[in-house]
Amino acid sequence: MRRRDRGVVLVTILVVMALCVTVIVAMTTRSEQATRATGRDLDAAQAQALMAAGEDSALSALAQDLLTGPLADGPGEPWTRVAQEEASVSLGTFTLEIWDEAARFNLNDLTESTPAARQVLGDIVAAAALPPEVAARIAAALAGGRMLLQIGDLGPLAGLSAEEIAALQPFVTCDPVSERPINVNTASEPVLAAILRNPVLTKRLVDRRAVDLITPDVLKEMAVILPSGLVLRSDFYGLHVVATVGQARVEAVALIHRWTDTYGKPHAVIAARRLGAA
Amino acid sequence: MTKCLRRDTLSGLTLVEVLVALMVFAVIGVAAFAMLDQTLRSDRIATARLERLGEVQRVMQIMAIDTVQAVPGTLQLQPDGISFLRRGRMLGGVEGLVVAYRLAEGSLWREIGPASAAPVRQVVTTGVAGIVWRFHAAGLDWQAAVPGPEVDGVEMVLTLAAGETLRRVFVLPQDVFDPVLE
Repeated sequence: MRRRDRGVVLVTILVVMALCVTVIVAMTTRSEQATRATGRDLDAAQAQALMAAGEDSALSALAQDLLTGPLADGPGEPWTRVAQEEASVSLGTFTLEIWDEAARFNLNDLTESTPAARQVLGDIVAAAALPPEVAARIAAALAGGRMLLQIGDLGPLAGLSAEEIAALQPFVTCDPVSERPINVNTASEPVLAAILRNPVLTKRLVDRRAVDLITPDVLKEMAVILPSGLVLRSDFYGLHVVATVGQARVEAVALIHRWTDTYGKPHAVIAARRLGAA
Repeated sequence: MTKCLRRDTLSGLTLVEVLVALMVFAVIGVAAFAMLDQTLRSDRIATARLERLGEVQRVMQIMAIDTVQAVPGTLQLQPDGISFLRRGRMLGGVEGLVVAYRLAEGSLWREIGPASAAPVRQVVTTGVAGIVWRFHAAGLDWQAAVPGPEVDGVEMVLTLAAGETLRRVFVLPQDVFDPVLE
């Protein structure tokens, strides 16, 4: 090899190696991107599976409750134990809240514009420390028969502020079933008082349920006959599930409806579901 | 004898040596190119397949998000697809969005928007040859027509232009009924 050609082999090898490295890096990068995308899809699928598992556990517990405790529903029963504060599971984190929808006044009762429903709403608005015109605005917005799908819609429909809606939220709900009775065992004292309109009886029931669940036998022992619109049990429950796996987060609020068929078989199904925050 | 075997340091390679070296390099080069070309082609095909699979999965994911939030009793079969009301809000409106899935021009279209406004139209996937919808209700078999407000499931059989068939069942929230009246 002549003196001036020395080093050509090294340059050629370096060029070939550079080309090889470029191809390998490009392929590895694409492979990593595909792996990451698949991982994200997997996380989302697992978060959804966790959410479905939470819903199924609630449905199962509520259907079972129709067999084990059909006469009264309240705190301390097995269905309340499916609730789960945020906990780490092998996949990520999981939270489940469950509550009795019959503990709250159903605003959709106002779509039929009955005086009794308007009166109950007036009392609840007063209990929430809101001015009486709030009740009038809500009643006017719903009097046309428009079914409310979410409490938050009281903002655009009735002109309520976010603070007013937050103050009302513990006492009201909006279920797709009208004239659903209120459960004495789970209703808050203001809701119970608004339905009963009898402070003495309200106090007696609240004091008694603090000791144990009010069943038909307990009512008999107390010599109390419940007025219409009040019951000791419920067939509608609310559910809030949050599941997080990796970067994926799934949150859903659902309404559960349960019933016993003519053969005595219990059923519990999701009657409504909304993805996103409660 | 000894002189014949010794090569002058300034002399080059013989023609035969150069030709043999070129042939060896040519064979190695052709083999390497063929391997690289095959690898790149496989990568292209795999990527295209994965992208298509991902697109179909996204379609199913979007439809699952819509159907799990469906308002019971609002599902309707249209000449070119289905429509229903679902939970959620857009444009600062009230809760409730009208959603429709339609097959048009070989693509699956999704329309979504509040009942009071024109819907947003988007292609969710292309290359669709046909869709068959069927509906389920408790105690009934799968039907071609919506059996009524008690419908609790929708089956979608998607035939892609490439000939593959995909079947997916979406479970719907169920209508609240009064068991006493049943």
